[in-house]
Amino acid sequence: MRGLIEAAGVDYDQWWALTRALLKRDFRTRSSQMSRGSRGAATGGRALFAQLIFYSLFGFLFSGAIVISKDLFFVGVVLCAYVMFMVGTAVLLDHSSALTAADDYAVLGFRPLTSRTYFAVRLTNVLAYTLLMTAMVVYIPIAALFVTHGIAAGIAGFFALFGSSLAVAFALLLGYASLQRLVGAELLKQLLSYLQMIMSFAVYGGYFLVSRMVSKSFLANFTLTKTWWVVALPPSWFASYFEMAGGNTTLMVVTPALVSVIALVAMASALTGRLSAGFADRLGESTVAPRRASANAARPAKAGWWFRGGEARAMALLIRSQFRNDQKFRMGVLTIVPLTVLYIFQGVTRDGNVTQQPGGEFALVGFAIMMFPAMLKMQLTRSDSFKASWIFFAAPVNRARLIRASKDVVVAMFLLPYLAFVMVAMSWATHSPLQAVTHIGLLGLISHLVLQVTILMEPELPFAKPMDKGRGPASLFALFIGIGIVNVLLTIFAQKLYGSWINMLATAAVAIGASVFVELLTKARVEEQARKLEFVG
Amino acid sequence: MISTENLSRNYGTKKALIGLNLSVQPGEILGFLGPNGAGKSTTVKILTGMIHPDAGRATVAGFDVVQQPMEVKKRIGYVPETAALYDGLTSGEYLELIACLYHLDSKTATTRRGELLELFGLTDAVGQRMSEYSKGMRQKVAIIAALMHRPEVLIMDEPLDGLDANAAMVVKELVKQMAHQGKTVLFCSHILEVVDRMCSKIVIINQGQLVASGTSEEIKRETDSATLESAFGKLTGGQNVGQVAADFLSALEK
Repeated sequence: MRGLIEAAGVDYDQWWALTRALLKRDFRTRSSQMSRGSRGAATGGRALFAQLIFYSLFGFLFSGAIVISKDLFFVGVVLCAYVMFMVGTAVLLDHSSALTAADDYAVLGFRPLTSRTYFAVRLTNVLAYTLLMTAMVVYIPIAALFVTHGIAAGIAGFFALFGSSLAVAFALLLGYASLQRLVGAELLKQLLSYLQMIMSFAVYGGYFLVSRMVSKSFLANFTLTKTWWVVALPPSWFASYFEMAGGNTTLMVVTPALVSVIALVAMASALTGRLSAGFADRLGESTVAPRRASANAARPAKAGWWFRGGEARAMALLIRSQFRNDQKFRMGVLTIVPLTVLYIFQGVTRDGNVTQQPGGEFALVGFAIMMFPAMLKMQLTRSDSFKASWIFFAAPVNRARLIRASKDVVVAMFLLPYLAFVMVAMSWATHSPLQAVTHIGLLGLISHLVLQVTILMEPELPFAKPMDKGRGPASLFALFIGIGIVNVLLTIFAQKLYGSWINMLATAAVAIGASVFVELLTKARVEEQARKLEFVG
Repeated sequence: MISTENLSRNYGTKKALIGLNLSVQPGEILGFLGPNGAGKSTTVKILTGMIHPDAGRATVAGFDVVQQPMEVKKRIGYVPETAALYDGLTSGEYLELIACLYHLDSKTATTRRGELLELFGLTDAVGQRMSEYSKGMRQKVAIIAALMHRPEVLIMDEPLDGLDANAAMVVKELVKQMAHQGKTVLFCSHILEVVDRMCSKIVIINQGQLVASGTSEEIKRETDSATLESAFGKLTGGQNVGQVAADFLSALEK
């Protein structure tokens, strides 16, 4: 092992020490993120076990397809494509730090560590995660292959699935390193955030698409015709191993399999070769050199004419500036947009109608609208710059008023524009603007109520908690359940609700009444809770 | 030793460093001073190999920082301005990692780590993650990490920041004794009294350029100042302190 590593020009001792330390650090950080800031190996183990269960479920579904389907190549293509997509998404979403760990330079930049060694550490880090994740997904399908199609198919499955996993990890790293040269680390980091949003959109979209298309009879009878177009797709390259295991050694099977091996070798060679040189230096220099202020950041944020003074104006300025300058916060808020579009698309393709079935085909839109405030609240309270919240504790401000003002700002800045966007989109989708406006108007009132309830349950100052301090208490889960129930009730009583103007106005009046009532409750509770809040820094 | 010749660096159109010439001999403690944005951090980052100069040359311990960065990095101990550490690790784990990066053998590393942690009163916190450390504790870990491999050259950027009075005295004395052993020390600080007392030579830079160099007494004499503080003010365009303070107060009255 040492010889192999050192032959690649990597310092074995440094590589091993740094790999261990970074894996330990990342594992702990992820564990504490997943377990609301709790620490310790036991919690980390539980988090890993939860992931094992999650990925095993997918593996179980695919093993069903392996058993049912007559076309192993087709199943292989789907399985390899899934593994590639899952690994790609995970690397970009969960382990983007493995690619963009520019902060390492502040700790390591002045140490006697070559760029090649550092890159090898990063590569090992990404591969350790992706291979572990792949193993969690594929162990059941591989077992199913061994049992139902024999030893050769099992072995082919092993190489195909781990090969596709490696291929996508290599491709992403190569793409990242090349892009970094072209556009620079800073811009690439921003681009990656948007890519993450698109990928999460694709995850949900893919789920809907697959759930609509695939049925048991479809799986049992479908066979994938091998045209050159089909075998040109990367998942087909690896799925060809299945065919070869079955004794098929035609040109159309062997060629893509060969391509897969060549691609892996070529990418590995490119990674260990020219791209590693200067990787850390370029990445690092961009982090230690002062950043050029963007024209956007140079413009002072405006609070808006309706937030005239005191706490409200302060909150409006803060939240608006954070949205402009804090990429994490911005992405967290904007995530709702693709999700909603997808839900609307889901309703449209089934010819839904808001008046007759407002919660029916468009039920998920309602769910998204009601969930948005809870998401906003979560994004609003956690931040990397949480230490700056000392000002709320040191300044002679009324913290309760700050909390209530932050809610008003969120409503004005995010919730209302979002509702307007959904109204327009729904009007277009249903060809019935009046119905859309009425329905979204009602959902908006409920959504505002949800925001009030989240603040009532846990009054918190904006951007005053660290990012890794959990993702909300159990009461938030109860809130989600509550939203689900309201959504179901809306579906059931939709006909009556939209049957007459009186019913609609009565419902709106109930929602407004509840809102006023919760506002009064919130005021009292926030006053009390705000006094107990302490600086976390 | 440390030496720079016409060292320059730009950030876009901003000239951070303009033809800086420096020389620090073994056994010397150079106080490296300058107002905010003068180019101190840029110089330090170039000397530690973290960024490259646009022009000029710098050598540390006889090695060129651009041509032979690894040789330089092996020989320097650097205490950064902000103690950037891997917060998810314990101090024990972090120092073990640092020892590996400098290829210290396990026995030596364990002995030095244990003794240095004890001297700084961190033994009880050795198993605690550094995310839970105070600013001073983090600074102590950063100082230990800089010294563990017994560097020839010490580059310290505000090393006393966050330290309690006792720890600060230990560090000051440690730096002096290391200089007596023949180590080269570049000491950046805004605490001018400390620099005045500790440093055998002082360099002041302003707007990327060297404006004064010599012993504290020489600089005071040249600027006709009673204290290093007033000399610093004169050299770096510091305004009349009393007048600025009065203007502040009057601005607050408006």
